[in-house]
Amino acid sequence: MSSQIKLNKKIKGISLIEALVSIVIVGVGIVSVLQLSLYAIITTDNAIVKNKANFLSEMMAEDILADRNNIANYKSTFICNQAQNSGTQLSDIIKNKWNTNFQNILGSGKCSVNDVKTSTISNSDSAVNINVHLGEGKQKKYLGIKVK
Amino acid sequence: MTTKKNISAFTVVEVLIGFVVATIMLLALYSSYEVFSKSYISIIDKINVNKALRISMATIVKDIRAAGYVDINSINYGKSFSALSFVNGGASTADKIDIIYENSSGERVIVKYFLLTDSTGTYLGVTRRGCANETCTNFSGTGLFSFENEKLFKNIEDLQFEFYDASGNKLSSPTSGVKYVQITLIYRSENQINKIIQSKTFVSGDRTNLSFNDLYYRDVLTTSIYPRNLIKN
Repeated sequence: MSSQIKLNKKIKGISLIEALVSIVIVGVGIVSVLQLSLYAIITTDNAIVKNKANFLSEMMAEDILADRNNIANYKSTFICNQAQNSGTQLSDIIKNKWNTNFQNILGSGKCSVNDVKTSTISNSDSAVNINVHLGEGKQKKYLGIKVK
Repeated sequence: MTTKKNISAFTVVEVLIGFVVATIMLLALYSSYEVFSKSYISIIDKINVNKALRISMATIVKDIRAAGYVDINSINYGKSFSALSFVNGGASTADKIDIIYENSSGERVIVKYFLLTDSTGTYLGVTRRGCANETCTNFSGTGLFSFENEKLFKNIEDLQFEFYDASGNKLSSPTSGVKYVQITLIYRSENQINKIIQSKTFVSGDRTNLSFNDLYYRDVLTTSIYPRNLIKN
């Protein structure tokens, strides 16, 4: 008995080039999934900074409420490494305390030129607007209160 | 039996190249798994520190804001008591605070915040008791909201309270004239999640020994409270 196996010459497996291309595609997929991990870390850091901005703005609001008869004195703008003021009024002492807290909470070298903290006061209706910008100005907290 | 010459299987070289490629892929997958698991632990630890700071601070703030409140229908109305009592831990240890206020005309409570250390770690501890007299030297058993030495959050490094009077001067004791209470909290992560050792010094109240040089992640939160029931505007 004799048999003959006929095979088409065009039957081919996967070439090395094709295998390498598929590895590159899988690699790109893995890198993109790793990017998700990086994104999660950035989001967590943003949440931490927002939490700080929240409590810092509440601190400013509470301190202004405690001295509500002199709210006009609390209009202020804080930038990085701001020098302490030399005034002796309660508002000056409180603003120095804020300045110290801003710097301590953020840590050295963590403040950028966009991280500006302001309190604007409207004397006509005793309204206080507090804006705290952290995280290179990207994480913002706005707090508006009426003190009377 | 005759076979065509074109029938071919993988050569040894092709199989070896296949092994090498597969090994590289497995190594890439393993290293990405390691990166993932480390970043997962890091994120969870950071979130836990952030959560501990946020909830601890909010809880303490709520109690200090209520300090000294006396219901107008209370039998203790008009009687004097110390709404805030404070134990200064000095330059090397955390502070403790006792806060007294009334939830209703018949319910006066004392809430204590302190650091609680046991074999498993250091926690923010809280005790809450119902008071049986106006100064809270006697207690009325364990009510619905009473508990002793409850552990709130683990890995607290510091708890500081600073008291200021109406002129902005720092008070050594909060017995009278407290207009501002500044609270500072520091927590650290459960695991050593930093990749390199970072030297960091925290400023917290009168503590002078808060310099760290290790792989733990630490964070600080501070805020001020105006205890409305102690000094009116």
